[in-house]
Amino acid sequence: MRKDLLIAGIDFRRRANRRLACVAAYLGYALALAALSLAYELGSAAWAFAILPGTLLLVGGWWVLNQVAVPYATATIDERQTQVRNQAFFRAYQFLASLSVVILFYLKEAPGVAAQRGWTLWVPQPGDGLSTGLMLGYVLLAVTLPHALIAWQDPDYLEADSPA
Amino acid sequence: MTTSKVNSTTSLYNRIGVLRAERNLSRQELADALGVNYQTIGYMERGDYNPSLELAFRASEFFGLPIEAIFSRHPFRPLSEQLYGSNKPSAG
Repeated sequence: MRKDLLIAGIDFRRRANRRLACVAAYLGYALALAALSLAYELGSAAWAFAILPGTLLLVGGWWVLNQVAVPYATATIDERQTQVRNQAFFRAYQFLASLSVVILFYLKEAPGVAAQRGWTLWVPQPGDGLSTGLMLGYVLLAVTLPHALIAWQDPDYLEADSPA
Repeated sequence: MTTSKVNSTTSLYNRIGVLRAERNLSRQELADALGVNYQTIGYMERGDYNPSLELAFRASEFFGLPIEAIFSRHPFRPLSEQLYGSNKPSAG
């Protein structure tokens, strides 16, 4: 039974709690990005402090996801664990590949559409804080998504799965 | 409990749980013998995981039983019923 998943009094052997950790990690990133963007736009250092709660959520959630995925990252995994890991990486790849296509399409088409129709569409500019944050988010997603998928999908680690 | 089921499309029933209990083995001991993680034994016992053919053969060799005695595409009858089912005491 995985006692290493009893973290700060929360039982992450339960799938519901692991899903909360996934949500916390990505919500933390969104909060940190929003605070960072506001700090950049308003030029106020006070907004920078708003980054802290989001960053804490992100780091905490990320750490939990890493802990959950530890057995899947060892060289001695068995056929079931290999299957779970491969499926998680495959789905993460599918999602990231699709997301990349959407982003590239947007970056290619957005300026033209905005000019043609008179819309105000955001496009990244050099030195733009938001685009840097979004790029970091993409990297973060690429790194954490397989772990998050495993944490999200694995069923409860039951007492029945104890070594005894 | 003698049988377990994965789902309606890939049904595979097994007797891993009852065979392990008969031999008084822990999940860890059986897992070590079969070369898998102990959680995988739990998943197989509950029917949440269908083993590969290779793992099924390893289980067959370990228990000294034919594969069809351990795994089946149809639910197993309880062993007690198989052994004594035809010897029901008469009512009179």
